[in-house]
Amino acid sequence: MKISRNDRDGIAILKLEGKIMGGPDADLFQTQVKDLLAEGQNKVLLDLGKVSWVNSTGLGILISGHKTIENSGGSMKLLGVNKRIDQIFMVTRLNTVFEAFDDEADAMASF
Amino acid sequence: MTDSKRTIKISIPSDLDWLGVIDKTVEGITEVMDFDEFDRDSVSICVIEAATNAIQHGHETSPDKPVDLEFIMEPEILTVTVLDHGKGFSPPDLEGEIGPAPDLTRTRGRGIFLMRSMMDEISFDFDEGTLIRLVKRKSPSESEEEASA
Repeated sequence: MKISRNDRDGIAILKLEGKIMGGPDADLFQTQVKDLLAEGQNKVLLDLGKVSWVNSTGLGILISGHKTIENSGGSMKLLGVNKRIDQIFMVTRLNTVFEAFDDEADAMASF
Repeated sequence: MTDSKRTIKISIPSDLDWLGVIDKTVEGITEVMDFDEFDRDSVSICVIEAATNAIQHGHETSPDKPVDLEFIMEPEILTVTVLDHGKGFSPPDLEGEIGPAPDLTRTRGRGIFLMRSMMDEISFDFDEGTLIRLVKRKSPSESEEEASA
């Protein structure tokens, strides 16, 4: 997984690319979240448009990041969830945890 | 696809980076078998889960041990076995209803729930390693479409 960051209108947009599947991905994402919070940035939009799939370990990474950000009083929302990932969210009911958007403008306006 | 049974075998190193090869293999096989997109994704998700278990729990990330996969293609049924060569683990309880989704705040423990929810059958065998067997049947609409084609 690769992560690139682009801040806009007070929101950190993290673009994730590849597969979210544990191992080094967990450290990479947790470090990114910690860095954001250390800067006082707790509004985070995760762009998953270039993520092909997530396994259950990858779900854990997303849940962990979501919890950390929510506990800091901020929010983490998702953009561009593909059908396969959405299928996993539906089965695990994580669609009730993650607020997801198809349109970036709608996502930005929701913070 | 013809009526005969066909088997494809692959082995991957015990490294999460190789899960993408499994994804592409499943994609190709389920396409040949005319599974619909939803079922193709379901099979991919579950085979990746089984292989993730093999790599992370079976082999504890020792890349020297391969993960062996076998895809048995029959006209209406795809059976996938995923074998690791580790010391095995306590078999999960696969009896009865699947039950509700795991606690939403948990960061682990969704793999078997996903496989049970998305496949038609799942079983484990423990011998010299752990073998996970996953079965997906084509839905009636998929079979009818193929028959009329």
